[in-house]
Amino acid sequence: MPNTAFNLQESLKAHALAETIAEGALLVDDRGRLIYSNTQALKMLGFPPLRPDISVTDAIDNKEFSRALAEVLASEKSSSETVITLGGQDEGHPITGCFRVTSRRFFSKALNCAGSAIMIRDVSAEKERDAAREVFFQMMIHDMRTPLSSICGYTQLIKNRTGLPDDVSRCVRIVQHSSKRLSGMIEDALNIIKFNRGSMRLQPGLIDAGELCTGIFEVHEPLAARKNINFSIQPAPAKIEFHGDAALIERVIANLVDNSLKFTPHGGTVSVSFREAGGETLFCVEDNGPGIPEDKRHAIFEMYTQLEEHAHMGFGLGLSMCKMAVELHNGRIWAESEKGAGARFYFTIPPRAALENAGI
Amino acid sequence: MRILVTEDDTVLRIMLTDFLTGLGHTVNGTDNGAELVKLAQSEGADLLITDLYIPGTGEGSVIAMMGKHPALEKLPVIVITGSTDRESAEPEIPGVVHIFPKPFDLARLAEKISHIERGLPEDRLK
Repeated sequence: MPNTAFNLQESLKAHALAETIAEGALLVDDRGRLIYSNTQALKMLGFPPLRPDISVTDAIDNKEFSRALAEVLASEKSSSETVITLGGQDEGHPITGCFRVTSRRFFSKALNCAGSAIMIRDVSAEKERDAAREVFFQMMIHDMRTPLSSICGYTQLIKNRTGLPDDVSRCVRIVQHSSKRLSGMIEDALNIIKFNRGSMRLQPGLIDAGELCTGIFEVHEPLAARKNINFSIQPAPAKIEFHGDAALIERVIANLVDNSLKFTPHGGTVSVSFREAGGETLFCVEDNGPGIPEDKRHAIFEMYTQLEEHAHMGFGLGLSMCKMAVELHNGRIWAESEKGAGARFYFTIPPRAALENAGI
Repeated sequence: MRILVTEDDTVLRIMLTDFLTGLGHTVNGTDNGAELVKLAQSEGADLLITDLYIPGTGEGSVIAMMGKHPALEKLPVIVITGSTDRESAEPEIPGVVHIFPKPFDLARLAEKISHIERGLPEDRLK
């Protein structure tokens, strides 16, 4: 087959593909001018009057699309993404909904130019599904909290009675410990919803690090005792107070302790320590469990991420909640580990001034 | 102290009634706003412990109906809420002394009631 005919046929195939997909597809050169667009993209952008001397972003009437395209084109990364919501008829533009605009850099030898390939995808249905799932999740958790209050309350009432047989007291302690852990999980799930929505607001106050850790010790000590784990809070040389959201920081330490207790084998060691370091408050939860492989030490803080060998042990939300909570305080969280020789989870909370400068 | 408890979950309401009665208080419980007004008028009250949203308030929340009924408007209020939004229950609302998210600690509730009983300054956020 002659080369020209072959090239023409390949072009027709590529065109057929571009016209069949539901996404809008654009090729834009480095000066922002359009190289190629499928019909779907032109429909989404309102068939702008594209001319070689005008950049795509200047030609589009719809301000939101124009802003989104400018944003992804200006990115210095090899790929970038933004999501826009078009609430109604924007200057006569009939498109409404939620759109994900992604851009990926390319260099084409055939076209002898560099630029960006842009895909515009209507994600309105996905957004609606996510919103419905979130509402369902929130309602379910809301409904769980009331019966949990009754369980916690009656457990406290029974525990307060004197003269209970030892075996009954032991059972009551277990119910109390389990209901506290369940409360913590519910708190974490709600916190994650709020972090993802961007609606989490810190309620900062002065926190005594020692008191906070002692409270966590009391809740987790029964679990450590069942595994014969040597669980301890290392005393600081002096009283350490810092500013932060006590409920959130408590959940961070509780999650780290929970993890360490879960993965540390019978007879192991878990300890919590805290100290001042360079004006910040530094916490460390250390264990002598199996450790974390080096390539997973960042990933474990992402949502739904777990080490393969722990796939059956929860949803992988705890550490991501910790990261979001610490970062909302402008702090840092990280893990250090030697495989087979335990793990140390550290996090820092900056001084009050840093929180205030961040508007917290 | 005479305490009114409004909570539409029967088990939780009974638990609170058992707990508060055990502390020596006189407790009247109900699951709706209309009955709450009647109880406040007939039995009198020194404190209201209430869920934020209960049926029969006609106002959206118990707090919104407080100012409209003389028997309720001066009562100190402790809110217990399963609301998933930390900001949804405003502690600045007049009369609200404290907000306990569910599940709550009975010892802390007892402590708060004791503060109110002794007329100690209201510590709204701790």
